[in-house]
Amino acid sequence: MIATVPRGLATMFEWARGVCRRLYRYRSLRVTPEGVRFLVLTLGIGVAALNTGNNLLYLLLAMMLSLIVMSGILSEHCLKNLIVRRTIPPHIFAGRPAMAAFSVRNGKGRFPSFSLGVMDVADGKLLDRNIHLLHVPAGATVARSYPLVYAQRGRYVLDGLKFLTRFPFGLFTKAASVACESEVIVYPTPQPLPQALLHDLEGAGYDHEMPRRGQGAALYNLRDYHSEDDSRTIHWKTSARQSRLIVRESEAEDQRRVTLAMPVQAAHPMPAAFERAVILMASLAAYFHARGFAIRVLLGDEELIHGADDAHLYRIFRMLALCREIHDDLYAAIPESLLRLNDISASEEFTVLVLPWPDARLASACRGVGRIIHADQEGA
Amino acid sequence: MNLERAYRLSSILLTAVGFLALILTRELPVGLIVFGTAAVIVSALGVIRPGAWVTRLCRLSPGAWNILLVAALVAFVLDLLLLSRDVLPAAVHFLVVLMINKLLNLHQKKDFLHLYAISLLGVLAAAALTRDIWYGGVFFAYLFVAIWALLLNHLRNELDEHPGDLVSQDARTAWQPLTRNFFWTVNGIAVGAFCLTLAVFVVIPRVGAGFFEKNRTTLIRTSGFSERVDLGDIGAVKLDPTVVMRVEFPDQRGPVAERMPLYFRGMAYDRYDGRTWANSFARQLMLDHSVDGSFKPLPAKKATRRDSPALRQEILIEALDTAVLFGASFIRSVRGNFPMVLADGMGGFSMSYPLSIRFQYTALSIPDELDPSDRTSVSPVYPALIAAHFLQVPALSPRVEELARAVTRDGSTAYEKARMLERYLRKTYRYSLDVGTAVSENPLEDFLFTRQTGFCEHYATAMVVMLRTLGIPARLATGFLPGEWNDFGNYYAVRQQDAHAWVEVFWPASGWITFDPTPGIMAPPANRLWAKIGRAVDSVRLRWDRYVIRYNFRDQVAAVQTIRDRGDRIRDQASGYLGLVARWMTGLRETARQLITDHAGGASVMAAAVALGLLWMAAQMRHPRRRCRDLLLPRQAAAAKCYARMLRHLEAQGISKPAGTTPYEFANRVRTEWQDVSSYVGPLTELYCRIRFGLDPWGPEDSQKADDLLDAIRLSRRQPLSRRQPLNPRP
Repeated sequence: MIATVPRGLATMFEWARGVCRRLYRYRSLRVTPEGVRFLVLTLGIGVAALNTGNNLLYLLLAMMLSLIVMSGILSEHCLKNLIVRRTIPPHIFAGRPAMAAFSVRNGKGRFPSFSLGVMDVADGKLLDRNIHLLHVPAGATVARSYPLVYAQRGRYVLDGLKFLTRFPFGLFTKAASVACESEVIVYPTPQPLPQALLHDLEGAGYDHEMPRRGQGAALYNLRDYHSEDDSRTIHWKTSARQSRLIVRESEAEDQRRVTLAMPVQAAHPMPAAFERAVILMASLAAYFHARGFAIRVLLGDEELIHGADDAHLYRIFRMLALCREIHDDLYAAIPESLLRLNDISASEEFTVLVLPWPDARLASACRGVGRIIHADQEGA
Repeated sequence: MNLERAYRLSSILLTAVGFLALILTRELPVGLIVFGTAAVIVSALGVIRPGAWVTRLCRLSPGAWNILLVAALVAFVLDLLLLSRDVLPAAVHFLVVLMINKLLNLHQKKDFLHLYAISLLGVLAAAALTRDIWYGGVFFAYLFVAIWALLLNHLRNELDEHPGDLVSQDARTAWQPLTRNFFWTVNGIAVGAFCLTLAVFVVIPRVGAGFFEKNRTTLIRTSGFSERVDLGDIGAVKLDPTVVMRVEFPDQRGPVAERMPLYFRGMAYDRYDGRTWANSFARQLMLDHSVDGSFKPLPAKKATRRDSPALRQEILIEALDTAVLFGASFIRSVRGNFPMVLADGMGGFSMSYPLSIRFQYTALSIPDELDPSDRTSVSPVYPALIAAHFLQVPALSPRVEELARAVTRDGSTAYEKARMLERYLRKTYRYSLDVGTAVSENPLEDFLFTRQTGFCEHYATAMVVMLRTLGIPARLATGFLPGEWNDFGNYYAVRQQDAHAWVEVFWPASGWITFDPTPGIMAPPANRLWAKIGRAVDSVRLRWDRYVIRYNFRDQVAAVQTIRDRGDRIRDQASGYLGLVARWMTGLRETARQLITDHAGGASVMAAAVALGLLWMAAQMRHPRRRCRDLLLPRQAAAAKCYARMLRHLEAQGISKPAGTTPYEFANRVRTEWQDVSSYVGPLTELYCRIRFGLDPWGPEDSQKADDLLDAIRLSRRQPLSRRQPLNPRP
């Protein structure tokens, strides 16, 4: 019983917080040029009424004031009970337009909403998407899509949407903010690899295939039948030729592996070089993925283990999207993960080290790596 | 009707309403009315039938319009200096010219805004020029149309600014928002705006002192209420139906005149020179404010009548050219917004000067009542002052006195003689307003012996003079008859044609008593329906004047006071009820205490039962899941709801979850059958299982994530079987 008391209080607190959140709506109000003229006219009539004491002028003044109040009531009515859903494409690349969508449902049972301008809110700034909903009937849902273009990779947050309306008379512009937070991860856009690098990779990559036994379709080996072997693997043709039972062993499908590595620590800030290297990493990941490689990524101290499916590729892109250059004035030790490259290469897995900037010491320490690419020289 | 057409028509209609307001003020010359009306019609035709020959006819070049406007400006100056000689009428004329120009040149957005401003100025000018009730109707129509016009103007501007919102390129003519719902919604908004306007009107504090208001009221010319009245003056207004005042009796029900004689007394006269009545008591005394704010003269030293119940009247009097204050005979006091009130020696009240506006005041009157001693007195003894002033007789032929004595031969008391004279005059002489145009040397003798026709002044003068010849003091009183009873508003509407003259006779004990020798006139039968409509309209006009035109700060204070009083009453009632409940609870407590004291064992059992009940409730609350065995916690219910929605979406796309399949098994199946959506189904399934079967809370981010995943699933479309690529392509 005692334990239920704090739980009850917590529930009550949550409920109260929800009520306050519903009651409090961030609203802003601006006067339009027509509204300024209207207010000036109202003021003039008010002064005339006060001067003369003429009740008919008071009646006109009351009419003007009531129009102002009705404007506020109706615009508030337009903006309330709008339920918003935003859909961001799961994969967005820098510099490439992606179509985002949002839907607005008018939760009001009877009254439509008019003249809604919609803007995105990000970092407290308004982003005009040039979307205008002239009429949203009661209970109806209206969906719109708009292009999202981000010039640079990274993590962006769309805080919400802002609805503006000048309904009903165009005297005031009322805005309402609707929380609809969406996180946008913008991947670096893979670029076509330079021809020289392509030739180099094509030659180096296939040499490092390491065939091994597995559940693939390709033939790996023919050997004598053992008692524990599955009878379905008997290769009858060869068995007939050799007059003894011969079984067929298959080659593993995911035997082609590559490790892509890139350091992120730098003694001095070099953002442009870093970005070039990131793009080159993304391009390499796309290249190897297209060729069916299982890719491992070492990014500074972060590691993403092998994977070959599309989801893994997007994980790689996400990792590259979020990576940041680390400025370490006391840079001395080479990251442990990069030192393992030599061991990985020794296990006959193809390794590629992308250097954003010239680093002779790192290049020397990783001289066993299959390929060292200098991003500044490749012009990626 | 499409938006563009509706917008134009509403704008023209708004202008028309403003123009109508100006027409009804009667300040516009006929020419401007004709041209203005023609402009409204032509512009409306231009919208309804574009390309009509009339619209082409009125199309002038901009240069021509500019010349016309300059000419109108010159005309305005001339009008101001020479014709109207008043800013407001001249400005109104110029405004109409501007309106005509705009109506025939509606091309751009700003032209419509100018038109709205012109219409508002028109209504504003009408408010300064009139107080009549028609303004209320025009105002309501203006508000109604203004809502439509402003709203349509806004929608049209939005369409202009954002044409891409519509599918059709021809936005203005294609989109038709004027559905039935829209129509009634806007009408509802207009009604709401009107109610809000009334509320704001009532609440706005009235602090204006009317400094700069120019009074444009025309005074109603009355007759018979000056210091000297020629015989026949009242006859001049006996055909004028103009309402001069409206009289309510707040303390009475129904028409008072059916229960007692009712005369609204203005002035009295004592001296008659054969043609003219004069008031020798015209010297007026200024009355002081009494404690209750009323003006009343000092009480007479000797009470001359009994104290009858006072008759309170609320009198709304028009702007008359007389300063006399009217009230039922005999006025004891008046109360109103008067700077000063004067009283003459014959019970007449007046202001220091005529007010040129309609105003309201309260009069308190004491009806006359004859003392029984006066009724039976044969030869009353009159005070010297009365005898000196009210027995004066002009130079007349002895026939008048002979007639008086002959008529009253059989009367033994003075009262009987007065009644005989009254009856004789009523029955013998014919009432007529047509008494000939020739000026008579002796109008009284003409009436009595020659024409034997006349109207109220003749009858009253004859009776006064004949009574004086018999030695009975009498005087002439002028004022108004009650007029027409308005059952809609419960008041009397007194008109010019109700002006009347009657007789007041003095009695030693009773004072002045009213006599009326004029026979009652049967009014010609009027159309009942029209009469009823007229009364209803007049009642509305009275209310309009009372609650709109003359609504003031005192009314607001009175309203607040009323609300406060009602609030106090409600509070007192609520306190009474609460006290009743408290007493009942006290009685119950005493009864329970008595029971416990008398039955100690029973109380112990009861206490034990209550304690057991509390323990049981506590046990239940410790194991909420046991208590709610079959129910989900709120977070679990939320997760289950999201999962159920996902299943419905997938089922709509042809993938159903068998009952015996676990959520993860189903997710794997979806990955196999519909790979595109598996990246959403998997995370949502994982989220559901974590919340539903785990201890994780369901937070706002989970809700948002679930909604996003559901939206993605909902927007995804599964390709038909024929188009789907096989999952494992054949080698």
